[in-house]
Amino acid sequence: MNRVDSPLLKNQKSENDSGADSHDNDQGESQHFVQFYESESFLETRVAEFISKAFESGDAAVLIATPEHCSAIEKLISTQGFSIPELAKTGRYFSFDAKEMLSRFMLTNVPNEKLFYRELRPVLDKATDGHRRRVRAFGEMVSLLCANKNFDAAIKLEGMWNDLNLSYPISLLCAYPMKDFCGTSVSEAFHQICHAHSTVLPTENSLAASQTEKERAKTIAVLEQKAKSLETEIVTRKQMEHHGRLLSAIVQYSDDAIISKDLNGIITSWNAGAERIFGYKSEEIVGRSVLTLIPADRQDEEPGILARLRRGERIDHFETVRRRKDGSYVDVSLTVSPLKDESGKVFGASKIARDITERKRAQQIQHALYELASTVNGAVALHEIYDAALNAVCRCQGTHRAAILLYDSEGVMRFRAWRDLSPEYRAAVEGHSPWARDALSPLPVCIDDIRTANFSEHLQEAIAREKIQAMAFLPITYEGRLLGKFMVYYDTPHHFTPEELQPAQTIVTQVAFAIERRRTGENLERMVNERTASLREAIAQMEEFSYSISHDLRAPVRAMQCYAEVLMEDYGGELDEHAKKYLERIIHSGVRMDRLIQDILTYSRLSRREIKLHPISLDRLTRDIVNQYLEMKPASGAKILVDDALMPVVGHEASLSQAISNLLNNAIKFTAPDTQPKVHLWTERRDQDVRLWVEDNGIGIKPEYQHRLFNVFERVHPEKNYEGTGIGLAIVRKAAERMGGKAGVESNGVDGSKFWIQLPAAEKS
Amino acid sequence: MINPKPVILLAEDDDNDVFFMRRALQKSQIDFLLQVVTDGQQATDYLSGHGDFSNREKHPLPTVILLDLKMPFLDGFEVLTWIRAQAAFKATPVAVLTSSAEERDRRRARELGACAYFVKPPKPETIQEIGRLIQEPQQRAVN
Repeated sequence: MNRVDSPLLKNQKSENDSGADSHDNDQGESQHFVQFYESESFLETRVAEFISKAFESGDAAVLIATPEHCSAIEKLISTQGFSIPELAKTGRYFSFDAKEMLSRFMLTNVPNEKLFYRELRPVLDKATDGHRRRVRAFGEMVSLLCANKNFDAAIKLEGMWNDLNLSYPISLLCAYPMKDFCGTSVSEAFHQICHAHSTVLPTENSLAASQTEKERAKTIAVLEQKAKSLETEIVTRKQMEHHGRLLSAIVQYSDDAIISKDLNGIITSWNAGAERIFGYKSEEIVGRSVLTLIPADRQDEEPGILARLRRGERIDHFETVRRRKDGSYVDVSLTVSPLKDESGKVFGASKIARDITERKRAQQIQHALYELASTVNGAVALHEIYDAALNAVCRCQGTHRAAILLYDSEGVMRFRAWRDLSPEYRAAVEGHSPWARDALSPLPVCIDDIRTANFSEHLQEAIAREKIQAMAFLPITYEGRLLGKFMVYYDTPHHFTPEELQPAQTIVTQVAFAIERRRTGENLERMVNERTASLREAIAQMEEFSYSISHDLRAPVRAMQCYAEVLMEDYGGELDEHAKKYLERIIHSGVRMDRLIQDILTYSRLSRREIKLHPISLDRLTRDIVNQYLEMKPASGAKILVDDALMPVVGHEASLSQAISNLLNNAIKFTAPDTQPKVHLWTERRDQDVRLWVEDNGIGIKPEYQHRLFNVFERVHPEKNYEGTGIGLAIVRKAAERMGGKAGVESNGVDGSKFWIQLPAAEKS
Repeated sequence: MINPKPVILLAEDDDNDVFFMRRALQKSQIDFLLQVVTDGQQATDYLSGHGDFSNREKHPLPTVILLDLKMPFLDGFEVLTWIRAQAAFKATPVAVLTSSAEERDRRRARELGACAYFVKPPKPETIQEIGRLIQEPQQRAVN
């Protein structure tokens, strides 16, 4: 016992006599122990101990183990003072390679009983010296079978050992590494293995071997549980492994750049997406600062990002610009998340950068086109549209040079608007066109690299001086007709694609449409302006004509009339009645002619003068006119009745005043000789209008003549009876029409007339 | 030597109208001296004493000026504008005598500083108003 140095074994020795070691003195009774173990050294010590006991008590031992175990165990036994070769020579010690031994009786994965006994019986016969001494045997063939997951074979082999135990005094120790039983699928086998043994010894790490069956069962349960949890852990690990492989594949093959960095901004990992977007290979960039990717003018972004990461914050969809290895820029959307260890401490960051160049470009294009459309719809001048179109094209194409050239009246393409082109360049290339003047629906011409272009030497030189390296000629056409060209220039060779030029084509279409619409509009406007000018001229001539009439035409008439009056005054006494009568006729005709001229002037002035409409108090205006009339013509003896509160109208006061005066004159003039003129004025609402009625007790107008009444120089009554120029009512109607109203008459031709003038009401109904 | 009679300067190119004005004035109670020029240019020459008009005994400065509107060379409005710009005639009443009854002529005459606007032929009221202008030359009322 003093050679037992394992505390566990000591413990087992002192507290437990049902263990393998406690059966040293068990005579005649066969035992079959099973030892589960976790560490090799434990097993080796344990087996050495077990075997040594046999030698101590003069018994024999059989060791069937792996060569490694055999040599280790023998070494340990030797240190106990036993000579293995000596014992072997005297037939007290037998050792076999477990694997080799196993192969002797295994038939296609199943141990064969006959073969097994054939191998083992002779050994045991010798070891027991013809059943005269006990044998301690250690075998790990079952363990090898379990390691190969051949549990059925192991259990069967255990059973075969048990059979042997019945005929030999053997203490048999089996050992299984615990790792072979991690998993629910082997729990049944574990059970059966335990069942096959008379004593189960737990692993070195389990509690001390139980004293009672109950506690033993408990220990087994604990072992089972341990086995199960190990199994679960393995499953989880496998899942995690699978998961990890999946994640790493996702990261590796992602379109997005997925980068990790530490809290100093040093890049720690770099996927294929990152290589694609930024151009650096993983080995070139890992270990370098993330600042390598940040343009000079955005370097200040990083401290802020790192500060937020340290606080454990996440940065979502931060749109910014990063620099590629070749120095070009790329629009990216960044999502940066802190990486935390188990304790929750942030130790770095994962960074997902999505290349949003295309999206940005699409957005820019959309925005540029929208702006252009609103300019085209709102712009008053073509140059504003050109300007907007150039802006839009530069933004869509990502360049700073563009131009619009249009055919002038001589059929020469001339620069109308441009961006970043020198006067020298414009002068040198103006007039050049890749298409014929009358080309129908010409196609764009793209020159990816100016060096390959087929231009004249003169053009080539001008282009080279301007440092242009690529250009596209986009025809500006309307209904297939060539109007000019839209130029897009690049400072570096540029591969033009139809897809890329799509937005530019849309812009060109807009420009063409705007130009054409503007041209049509300008033509129309010019036509309107010309007509307006000629109308104005006609009106001005008319004014001059009227002015002449009023000054010059009246002068001789007035002179005739005045001289006749002078003659009458100065020489009236010397003339007979006939002569005087003729003179009166002359005077009368002069007066009449003068009035005619004045009426015509009034009428024409009314037709052409610009009038502004205002609300007018018809009540006040009418009363003023009536009072004035009565003051000026007291001899008429007319009785004029104006109703209370005439409704206000919208009109032009001077014109309306003229019209009302004429109606009043008219009403009083055409009265039968010995009748007192009676005039009644009132207003009446007619929907949105107000109608002013002027009713008289005059001679009336027969309905069949009424339609002629308002024409110039129309007279319905013989002149000798009723003096007038025949223009008065024409003036009334013209005035009403100019004010957006109308005039008319109702009469049966017997009982007087009812004249009216109707104008928009000043007050809503 | 100052002529005691009020001097009326009439700028009028039509002989008939000169006759009617002279006749109308003669029929009135006004004691006057009528000086006639037949165009706008002559009117300004008379007033500024150019050439023959430098003789103020023969061509005395007017108490009242009557201007026709339609005249050769300078029209009535131009003469009126010129007169109103001369400090010497600041106080001299100017009346327009025209065959035009048009409102725009009437308004323009008033804007340019005419004291009165008469439509030909001269009526008794016209002469009466001229008499008033002679007596109260400061009066700037416009009809």
